[in-house]
Amino acid sequence: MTTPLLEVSGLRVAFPGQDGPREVVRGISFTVGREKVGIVGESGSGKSMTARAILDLIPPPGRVSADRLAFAGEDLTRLRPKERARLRGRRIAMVLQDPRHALNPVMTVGAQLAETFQVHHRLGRGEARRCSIEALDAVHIRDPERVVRLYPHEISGGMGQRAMIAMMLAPGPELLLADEPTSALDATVEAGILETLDELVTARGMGLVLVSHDLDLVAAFCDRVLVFYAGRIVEELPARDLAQARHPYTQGLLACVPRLGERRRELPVLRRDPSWAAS
Amino acid sequence: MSAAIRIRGLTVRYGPLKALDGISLAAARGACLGIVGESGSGKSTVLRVLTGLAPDWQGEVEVGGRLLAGARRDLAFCRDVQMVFQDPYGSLHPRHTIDAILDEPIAIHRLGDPARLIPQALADVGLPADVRFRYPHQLSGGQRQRVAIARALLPEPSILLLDEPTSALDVSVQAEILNLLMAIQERRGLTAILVSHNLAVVAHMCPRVLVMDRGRIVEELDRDALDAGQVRSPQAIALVAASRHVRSQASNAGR
Repeated sequence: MTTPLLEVSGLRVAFPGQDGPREVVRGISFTVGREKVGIVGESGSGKSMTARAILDLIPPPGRVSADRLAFAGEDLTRLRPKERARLRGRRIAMVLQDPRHALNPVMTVGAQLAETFQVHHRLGRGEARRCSIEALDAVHIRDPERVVRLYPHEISGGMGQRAMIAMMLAPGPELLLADEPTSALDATVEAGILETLDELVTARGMGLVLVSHDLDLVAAFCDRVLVFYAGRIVEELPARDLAQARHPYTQGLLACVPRLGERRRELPVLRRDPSWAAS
Repeated sequence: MSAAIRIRGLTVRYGPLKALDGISLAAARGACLGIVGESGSGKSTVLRVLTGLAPDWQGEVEVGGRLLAGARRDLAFCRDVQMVFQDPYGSLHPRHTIDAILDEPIAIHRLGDPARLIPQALADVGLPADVRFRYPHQLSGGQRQRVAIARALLPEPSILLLDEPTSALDVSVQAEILNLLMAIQERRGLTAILVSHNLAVVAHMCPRVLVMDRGRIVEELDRDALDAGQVRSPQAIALVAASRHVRSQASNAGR
């Protein structure tokens, strides 16, 4: 196999606490190729911090360390902050949870998208505008000529997230990190957004890391699933084998979700075993 | 069976927008009624009208046999009808201890001795007694939602309104809260309305489910129909597909 797109080995993220540093990511290792990898876990399991650490977006006083953190064979830990910043957006992009907060509220959708093309592709204004309309069309926004003139508050959450995906894909990144891209959206909009994401990622041969708390969702859209618990990976398995998950935490997460067609008087509750968090 | 809540022709306007467009519904005494729909469908507005949080509405709303008017609710009504909100991070006063938060309904409704009632209220929702003198930020999301439920139960209401009570929580915590709500609802024989965008959550708790879209009730479902996938309206079909993570069927929405 060729060099994986992303190599993470022994990744740790720590924040200072009252009794010394507190690690929120505790020695995580995985690789991502040109495939779709899902990261699932509860809030506080370290899944978002892992995605942020890859992009060098951990705010101070947080500290990141890793045995190896490499993108396309290049050691990220040895790059200067400026060089890291150059990778960000251009070769590794990130879609955030809520388009209502992530988009600039005082710029039209078109202006924000055009800016991406102007910065990354050094296009002129007219050309950038034309590319923006094409990009919105590629994420299946109807009537893109109209939407480019609208402000973020004038479009729906689903449309905002599509515009955001268009913007993140504009520089032609090789790896896309999506941190809960649909959890601020309606359930009925969710599938459509993920399908579009899937379609574009597959067509461009990109790598995708989908961070989500929703195990079913990740299973439906990813090739591989990493299950995070208390800052560690407790289980890694192909998405289609999720039903045969062996770790009690994964099994517990699957069992406690109410599902249509099941009648259970009481939902099984996760009994947390301290040994899951131990190394 | 007599209805605890009966609504006829309820319309709510926010400017030119009709948040509710002449809906009618009835919630049977002692049962749990579910309302499901996307954001903006008007499902929360129904609860806001009931609790007097929507100032301007037309139609007929009857709670416990009494007709409501406007947005003023008397003390007896507030004692009888309580609400649990979506976000336990926002619905508890950040600078009040749990003790102070739970003391409020006791003082307002003159329920009795806080030293006896507060530990009991905490025990009822499965919280340890030492939570009493902590602040909301010292508790987990699930514990906070338990505090919010304890506060709602203190006046011993007969009607409990639940507005997305688990959508800010992790699925593992959601299971605990749903179990708690179902146990309480059954044990106390409460009439409940559960509003959520998650069809599976609503179907788990409620034998009867109303599907809303753009201010109207587009379908009424019972559990058998849901289990068999017998839904007719496009909104209900999309919600069923979404809750099963079926690809393609829901993909036209949101474009």
